[in-house]
Amino acid sequence: MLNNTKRVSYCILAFNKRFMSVKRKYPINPDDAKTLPVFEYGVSKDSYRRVFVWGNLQTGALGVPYLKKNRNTLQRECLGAPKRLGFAEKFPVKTAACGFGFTAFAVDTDSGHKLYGTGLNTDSQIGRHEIRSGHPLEIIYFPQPIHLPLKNPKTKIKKISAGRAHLAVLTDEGLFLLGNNSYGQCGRKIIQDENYFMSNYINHVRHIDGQTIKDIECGQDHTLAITENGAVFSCGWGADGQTGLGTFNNVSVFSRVKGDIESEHIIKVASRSDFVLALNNKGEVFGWGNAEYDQIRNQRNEQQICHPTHLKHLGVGKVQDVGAGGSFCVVVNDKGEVFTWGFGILGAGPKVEQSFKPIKLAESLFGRNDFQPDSRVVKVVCGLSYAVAVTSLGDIYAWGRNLRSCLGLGSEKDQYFPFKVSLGGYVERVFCGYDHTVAICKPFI
Amino acid sequence: MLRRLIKTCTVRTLGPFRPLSSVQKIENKISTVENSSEIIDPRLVSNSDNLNENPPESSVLQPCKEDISYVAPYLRPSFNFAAYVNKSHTLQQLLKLGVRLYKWEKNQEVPPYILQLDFDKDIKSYIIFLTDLGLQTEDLGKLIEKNPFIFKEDLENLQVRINYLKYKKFTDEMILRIVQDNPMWLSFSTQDIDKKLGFFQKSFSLTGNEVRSLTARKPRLITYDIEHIKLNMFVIKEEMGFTPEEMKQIVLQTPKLFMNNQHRILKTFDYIHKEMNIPLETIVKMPQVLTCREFRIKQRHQFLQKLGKLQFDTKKPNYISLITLVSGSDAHFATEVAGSSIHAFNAFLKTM
Amino acid sequence: MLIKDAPVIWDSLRSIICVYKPPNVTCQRVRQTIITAVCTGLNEMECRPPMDYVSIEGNPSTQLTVTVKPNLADHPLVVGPRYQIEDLKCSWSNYLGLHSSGVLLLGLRNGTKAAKLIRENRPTRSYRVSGRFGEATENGFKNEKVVERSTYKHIKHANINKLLAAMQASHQKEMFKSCGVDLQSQTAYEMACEGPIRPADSKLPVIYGIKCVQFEPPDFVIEIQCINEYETYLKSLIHEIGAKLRSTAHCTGIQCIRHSYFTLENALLRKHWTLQHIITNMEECIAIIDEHENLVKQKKAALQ
Repeated sequence: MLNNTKRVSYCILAFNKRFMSVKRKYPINPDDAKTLPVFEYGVSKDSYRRVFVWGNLQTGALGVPYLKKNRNTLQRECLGAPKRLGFAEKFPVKTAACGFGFTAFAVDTDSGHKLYGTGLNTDSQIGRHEIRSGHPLEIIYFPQPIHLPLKNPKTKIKKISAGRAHLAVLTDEGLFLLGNNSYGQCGRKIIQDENYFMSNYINHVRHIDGQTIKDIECGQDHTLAITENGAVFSCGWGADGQTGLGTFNNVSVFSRVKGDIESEHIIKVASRSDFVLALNNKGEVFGWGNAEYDQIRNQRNEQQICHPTHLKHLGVGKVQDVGAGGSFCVVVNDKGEVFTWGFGILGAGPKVEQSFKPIKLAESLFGRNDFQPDSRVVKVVCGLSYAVAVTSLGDIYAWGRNLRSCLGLGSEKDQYFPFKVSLGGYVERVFCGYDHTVAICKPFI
Repeated sequence: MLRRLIKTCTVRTLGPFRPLSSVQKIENKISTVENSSEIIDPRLVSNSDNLNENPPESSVLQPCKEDISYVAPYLRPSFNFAAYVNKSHTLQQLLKLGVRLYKWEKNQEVPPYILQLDFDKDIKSYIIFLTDLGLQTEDLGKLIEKNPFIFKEDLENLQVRINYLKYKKFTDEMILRIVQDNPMWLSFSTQDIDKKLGFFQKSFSLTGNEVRSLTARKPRLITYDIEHIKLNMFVIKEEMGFTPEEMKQIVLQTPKLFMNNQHRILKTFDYIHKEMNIPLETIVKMPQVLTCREFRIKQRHQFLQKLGKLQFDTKKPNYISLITLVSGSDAHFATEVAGSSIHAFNAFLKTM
Repeated sequence: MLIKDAPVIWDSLRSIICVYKPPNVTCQRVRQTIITAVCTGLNEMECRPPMDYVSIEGNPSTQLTVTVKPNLADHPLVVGPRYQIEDLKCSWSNYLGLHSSGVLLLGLRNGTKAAKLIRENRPTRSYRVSGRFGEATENGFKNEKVVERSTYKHIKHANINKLLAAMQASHQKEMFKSCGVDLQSQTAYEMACEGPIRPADSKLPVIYGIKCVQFEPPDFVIEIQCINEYETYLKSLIHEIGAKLRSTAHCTGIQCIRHSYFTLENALLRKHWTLQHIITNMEECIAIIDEHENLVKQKKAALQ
């Protein structure tokens, strides 16, 4: 206090003016702290997940309103960096699926609405939504509920997957398919000149071949399903052999995929476009579909392969996860090493554009160094022309063509090697579409 | 600044030392030259001086028989005493007493003043006077170094000041100690000293004997800045909460405390009283702990805390007194008091 | 010390020394104390005696005597001690704030060049920053007034670890943006493959490693490896951790435990700031610099 009085009096001398006295600050009384109220900041529930979205804003697939209010104001056409989705703060989003310009969210509730969709709805792939009867909405900018004809309201959605213009929803009650069926990708009979925009038809497949469906995956215009005994069934567009049924015809009924995988127990299939990778329980990889980018070679040097083929040339050890983009493939083995091959931006610098042999991406690119030696890649997901890897520490690394900032790196330039995407949470799952990405994260606390 | 200071002390210091008046005369000349803002040419001044001394009838061509070795150019303005010391008898004598001449250069007024003095005339009597009091040569040097203006005081005045102390029943040893420990004491007038002693007697309610012992113990405290002492009294009384009786004990035991910085002692006190929870009564018994610096007591206290050997209760075994906590070297503390090793203590210091 | 000659010791002061800066003492004060200690130590040793002075005395017309005697003008009592504090150059290679403690490198005399080179090379430094949950103070440090209190019971060790891992990964990404290389180039790819790199900018703090080494609620200690940091940044980091973990936190201590290759082992404690210890320490430091050439001369942008 003396100090202060001294200082104040000094100031008076110095300026010869009245000086407002300062609030007494020193010495600090530690008892003052005890009089303060104790705040309790809320902690999120275990089931709570944060959802981050980035990429093309114009299609509405991000669930973030994009409105052209004024021509003069600069409108953002894409989100360059991940943005937290407000929808997920109100609804407990469990899983999601990214199609070509639309997104579906599965919500864990006991009420009737378990599925929400947003984005392009030209083929009613996210249900029919109309304000005026007879005029369904073509674009939806905010997630809207999609009604599923469920018998039991407590049924849970296990997985959803989206293709170019169709959506597959796997529930406890079986598989529901909606959207475009012009190639039979919804597993029902193709009707010539069917108006998908106006229709609201949902196809229900309870069992395939008497087996329960365990997993589904939508390619561009085809659908793949894995049953509990590890068999793969497919339907849809087959012009490039992507159905793997030995023909190049469109198939409108789920049919057993044979070839090399007939006797294998398949645990995962991955397809974003017209090339399919399948992984069996021994960690071996099989592929079929459009192989014109040198993903697989067979004896006859065909570019369209309609028979599943074992990829013996990889030599990457036991594979843990696979991802198949439009022109390239990514696999991660049980040591957390990532390999890419095919054509395009493979992630090994700007000089490498094409490779038949798998290229190992250095682990330091995925954040492993002296400071975090435990970091390893556990999952890979492919978009059409980009790929995303998820590490054990909950970080994600993206590389590839940066179409409408779908990499979420804050710029619109292509990324030639894996680069970390900054998010506010630990990433659990990532979903890649054509030009947008969705990540489901756990909060920090 | 130094340049300005030395300019004023450009005096002729050659040959036999000139009487004070002549030096002053020359100084006046220089100052008039300076005032008329002309460039000083010492040679010019010297020549004119020379002309006056030489008889005008002798021819320049005749061989000179006179001793003209003292005729030399004036010394240029200098930064320090080094320019004068080889020629000046006074400075050489002071040097023999062990006076650190370079210390005087900080005060602008000292060098011109000292250079004016003649050792035999102006200084010797003072030295005899001080030696009579019982001062040793090294103490003399220290005294002159600290208080060069003692030569300005009248010798009679100094005697009066000593007599005053004797009148106030200070013994010869006490007086010797006062003069030894506080070089400035003799420069204070009797009235000032009386006032200051009165202040201490009144504000600490001391008896005559206590005032004498306090003065003999810390003569510098008596002539210390009164405002500072008042401030520290306030700190000890109001901010620390000691009673006047306790403050009296403190001043008699550790008078140095009142000359310390008030923030520093308050910091140490805060640590001892608030962190270590030592009651005021215990601190009064050993107020010298308050002069210890905070970091020292802190690191030792925390080391003991880490070892779990804190015991400030006198009744219990392994009692550690505050004095043993703060005194002694680190090695002694670590091995004897804390029962550990100096390496462990050093390693602990590197975690702070 | 075997050598008793002060000029020999003075000439040997040509490198850096590593001292332990105590908290609540400024770097300037540490520097001043070291300089004073060195000068006092040197002055106590055998210094140069006063130079000889040739004096010619007597009457020039009769007999002149030439004598050689010690020059009083060069006497230490007249001109001051031989080694003056203004003559000793000293500069630091890493600045530690008032509340920080730990390894501080000081260059003495010619060593100021080495200190400058080390400073400009931006080597990593490790810090041990301790914080406390539950209370937020005005400036983020413990010596200020508490402005907010909150609960901290919900914070577990795993929560901190996860948050710090996310922060670390984000900072490692940031170092790329600040290293000044075009991300689209092959160089950027090659640098990324090599691992962490140093930023080109000397202003932007980059954290390479951050982990929680001790957690005893409400107190916690984190260890940070970083570049370009400063005290306020570390304080605000603790504040941020508190906010992210749905509580509040303030910093209770900052200790620099490593500066490039200099660790606490090499650091000289305050009580050892004497000439003898400083000379011994300087020899140790010279050995370390000789061992690691990259300390003063660097070729790559990669972090070592």
